[in-house]
Amino acid sequence: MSDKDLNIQKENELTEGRRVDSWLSPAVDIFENEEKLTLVADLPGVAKERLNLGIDQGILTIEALAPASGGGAGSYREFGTTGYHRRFQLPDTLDFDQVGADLKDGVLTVTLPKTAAARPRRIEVTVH
Amino acid sequence: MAMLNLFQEMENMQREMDDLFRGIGFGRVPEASFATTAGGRGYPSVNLREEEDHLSVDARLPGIDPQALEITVMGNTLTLAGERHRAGEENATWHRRERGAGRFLRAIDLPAVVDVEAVGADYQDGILTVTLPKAASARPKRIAIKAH
Repeated sequence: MSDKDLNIQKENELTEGRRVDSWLSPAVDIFENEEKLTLVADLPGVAKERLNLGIDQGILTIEALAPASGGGAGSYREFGTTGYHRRFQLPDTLDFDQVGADLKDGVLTVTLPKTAAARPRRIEVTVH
Repeated sequence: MAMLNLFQEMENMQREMDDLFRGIGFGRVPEASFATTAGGRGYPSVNLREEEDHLSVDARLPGIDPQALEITVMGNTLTLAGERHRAGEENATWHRRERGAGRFLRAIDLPAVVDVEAVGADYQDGILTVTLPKAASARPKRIAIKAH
């Protein structure tokens, strides 16, 4: 497969014809409490402009690009320009209109609140 | 729990995809998890670049408090040490926990003598960049020729 085939074809062309050295599945933490589901992903080197986050038909897609500084003579490299890609099927008990996302220090946090119907509800018992 | 099952389903899909790609030699590999030294490399992974007058080291350290990072240079060795804290609520229901936490230390051999006093570090988007100016003795010096 050539590098050309691997470029993410998107209107907001993420890779801009850049050579991507490797594609990785970012490491994630997923946890939920009564109100929301939280997804935390490690995306070192990714700036806000180079992150594509989308929900389409219940599938959350994380696509990002972390450009590495150029090589050249006398360099030793353990990582190059890295593309991140990972998808998750989301349960339909989430309110997709209220999704929040925050990118800080190369860590992406996506907050997915549950719909009111999916939250546990405490039922008051009236004692007569 | 219904939600848990859905996530497991995706996990299986992910694994299948990884296997599929690995089978045809595609370069897509799951990111090396925190603190593993598989492949003979340590955490964090680093890039080192040598320029005429300085060395530059980039390290992938997402979600680290830069104040808690310890960067030391002794002789020809640069040492990066710190700790990554466990994120998230402990009493939540966990579906996945792939991002590691704990203490790390990595020593990097530098290919030139550096000016210890002038070392600078910068942290942006989870990448730590350490700039180490070379000591005067390690820089190339142009010798002027006197013509008579």
